[in-house]
Amino acid sequence: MNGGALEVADRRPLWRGTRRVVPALVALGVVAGIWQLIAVHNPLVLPTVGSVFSRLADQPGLFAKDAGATLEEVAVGAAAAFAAAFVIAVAMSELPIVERAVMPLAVALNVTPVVAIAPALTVMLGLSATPRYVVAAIVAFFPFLINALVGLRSVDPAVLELAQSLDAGRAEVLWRIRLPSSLPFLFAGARICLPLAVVGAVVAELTTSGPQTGLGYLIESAESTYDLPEIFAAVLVLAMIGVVLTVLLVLAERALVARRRGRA
Amino acid sequence: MTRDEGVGHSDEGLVLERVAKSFGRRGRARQAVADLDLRVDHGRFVCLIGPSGCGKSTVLRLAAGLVSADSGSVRLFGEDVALARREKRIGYVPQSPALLEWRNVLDNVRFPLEVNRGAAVSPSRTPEELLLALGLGDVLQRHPAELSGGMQQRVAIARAFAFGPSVLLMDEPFSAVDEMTRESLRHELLSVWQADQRLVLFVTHSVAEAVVLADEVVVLSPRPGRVAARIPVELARPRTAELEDSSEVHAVAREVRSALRAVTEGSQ
Repeated sequence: MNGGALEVADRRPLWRGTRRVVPALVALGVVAGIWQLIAVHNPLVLPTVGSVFSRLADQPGLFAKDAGATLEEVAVGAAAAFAAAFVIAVAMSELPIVERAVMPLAVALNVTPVVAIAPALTVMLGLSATPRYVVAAIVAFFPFLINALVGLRSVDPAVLELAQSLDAGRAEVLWRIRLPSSLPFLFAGARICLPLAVVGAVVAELTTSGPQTGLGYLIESAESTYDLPEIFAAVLVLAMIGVVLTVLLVLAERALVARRRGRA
Repeated sequence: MTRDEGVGHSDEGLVLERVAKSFGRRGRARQAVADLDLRVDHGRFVCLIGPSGCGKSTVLRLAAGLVSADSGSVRLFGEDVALARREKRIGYVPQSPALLEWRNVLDNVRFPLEVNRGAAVSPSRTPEELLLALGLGDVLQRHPAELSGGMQQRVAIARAFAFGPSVLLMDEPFSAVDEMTRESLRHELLSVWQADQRLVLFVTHSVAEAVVLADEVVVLSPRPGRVAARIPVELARPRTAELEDSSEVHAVAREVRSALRAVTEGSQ
């Protein structure tokens, strides 16, 4: 990549003008309004928008600490899942026998409800954060594997023929053609899998008895005191984490991949 | 076996001898090429033309060593085509430009120099010089998605010349661009080729294109592919764009067309 690629990517704002933002803000306002209307009349069913935000404002440190713990689980779990899935996808794309051997196992892991595995992981791995890393990783693993595999196989057959006509080696084809071809698919996979890893981390916090941190743990302890505003404040933080992660991925994708699609 | 380093050392350029190739499963196999003999000498520009489905592309892929013959032999400069491919002596231009979309124009043209480095290459021009000659001097840093189809095809041509291959094999490289672009591409190809006149086998379905480009037009008959006619084109080189409308070109084109009509009617 050269410097020009970044210039082009940077010149385009994430949201192009107010036309893009206004409809979304209006929709958000309508939802918040309906929410508030229900909450005012049924305070035991829904907390008011104000009470959720004031809870956030009262204890920003608490939410930040738990958000940090959850984010750490997401980061460790997703990084491990992406690395493992990518290595396995490369092995599968190079050797069909690996795919035949490993894919059924991967599918079985994917269809097994992760909530069912979580208690076993606590017993196996102890009262540390490790079971949470593992659960986040399991959830993120399979979709990323599939995306990476599709990406590695997405190469234009004419390009492969060209490489063959030059007698390019397998390693050269992998490194110079298959890996760069797969990059957009890796980003697509990450956009699916990072939010999934957040789900995995929260589920693990709710179901394993590890350290008393994380937004899932905060939700669980708020539940025991019927503290709806705190629960929804934690949910709001989780939603924001998901949005921020997605935006960061989109920006990274713009910088690395956008140039391929041309300026038009 | 003699290893020929340049033009004229060996009499043999590209030789396909009694080549047969079929595709598909046994029993339902489709004979693409049968008993095909074709010789292209050093420094010659030969166009392969024929009705669709006549095995033109198969002949080219056999010559590039991308598929192997069921029987018969395919040799380049007296050695097996597989060896020539390993030595990186074949410049192949597929139907689509087949550019690497994440690389800019210059890096796409450098691609053949980066792979299979074990093979010794002796390019007579640098990628920059080639791109300049093809009128792409201003877009070296652009990416393929930012180029028109004709420009992409020019990049593919520059890429084929970039490592100084002994032979160029082109599979209808201009079929996807409009007629105007096509005409200028022909002459740009000729001017780049003119400099060192390597052996070219060029598949096309355009009679005008074949006549303007070639020293010899080979007409293939369909199902299975065989050489039906060989029509020499004795027009002086370098050939200019004005030549397109000359009576000499029209005369040869008429000859090619009647040979094509003969094989098409014969197959129906």
